[in-house]
Amino acid sequence: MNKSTKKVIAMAAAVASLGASLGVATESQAAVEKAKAKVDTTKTKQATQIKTATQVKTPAASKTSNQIKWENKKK
Amino acid sequence: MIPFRRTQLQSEAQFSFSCSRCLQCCQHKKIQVNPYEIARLAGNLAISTTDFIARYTTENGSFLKFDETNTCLFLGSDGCRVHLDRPLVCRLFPLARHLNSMGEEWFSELEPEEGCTGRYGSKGSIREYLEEQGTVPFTRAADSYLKLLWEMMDKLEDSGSGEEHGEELDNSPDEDEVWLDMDAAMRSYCSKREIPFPLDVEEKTRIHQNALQQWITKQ
Repeated sequence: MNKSTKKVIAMAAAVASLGASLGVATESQAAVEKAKAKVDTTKTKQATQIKTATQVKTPAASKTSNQIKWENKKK
Repeated sequence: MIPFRRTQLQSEAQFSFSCSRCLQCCQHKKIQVNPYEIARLAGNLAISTTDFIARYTTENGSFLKFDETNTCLFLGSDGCRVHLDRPLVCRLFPLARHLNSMGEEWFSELEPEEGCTGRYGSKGSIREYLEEQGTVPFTRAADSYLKLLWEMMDKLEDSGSGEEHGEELDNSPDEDEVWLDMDAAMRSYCSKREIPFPLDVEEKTRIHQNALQQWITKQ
């Protein structure tokens, strides 16, 4: 795997887990899965892998931490 | 959607709450826990954060596990078994704290829990309520981690430009993301630098945040 791809995936994974633990909604986890899946199917195409990785984004609009007991009612 | 009674409250807003220990707020909830809170809870139980995450959390260590009746695992017959080290959101309840990347802080007051026998009032302020609940070290730790999180999010947003031609191959093993697991991250960090493993939670948190900052800078 390309080094820059790995770095972006690692960063997105850290954002997803730390973000959730701090009450910040991010789209990083979905982005990580998407990026990994794409990398797996394009192992011989480095350029595609890089492009996929650089598409990992987290929307700036979600930069609010909500520190709250979330509801988890019975379904 | 969480039902708020009031929102956009500042810390000097009038608020008081008298808890009657009906324990309704320990059920049907999702309790988020950051690395500092995990370290406090693990310390309370005298286990490592690695063990704590495996035994008591879900979603990669971001939330506390609840039992099959949707009750917090730490709720005992006499109330909370880890009360001294309970997470921030448990201290805040029935308030919510909001903080954005501009450093703006505000609070919301939640609608009373169904069956809750606690009493809302206006005898004090939100600030006084938070002091009573011992939130200071918890908000300080959360705010420090949030600064690091905003930095990581900015880096991710910026990663879309200027890296289109990297062909450098990296054959090292996949990086294992253990940032929520403070003990695992610190064991590796301290061992590589030949520094003693910190036992005090506050000191461990400080070093953990430094390590995370260094990792972000390197990325």
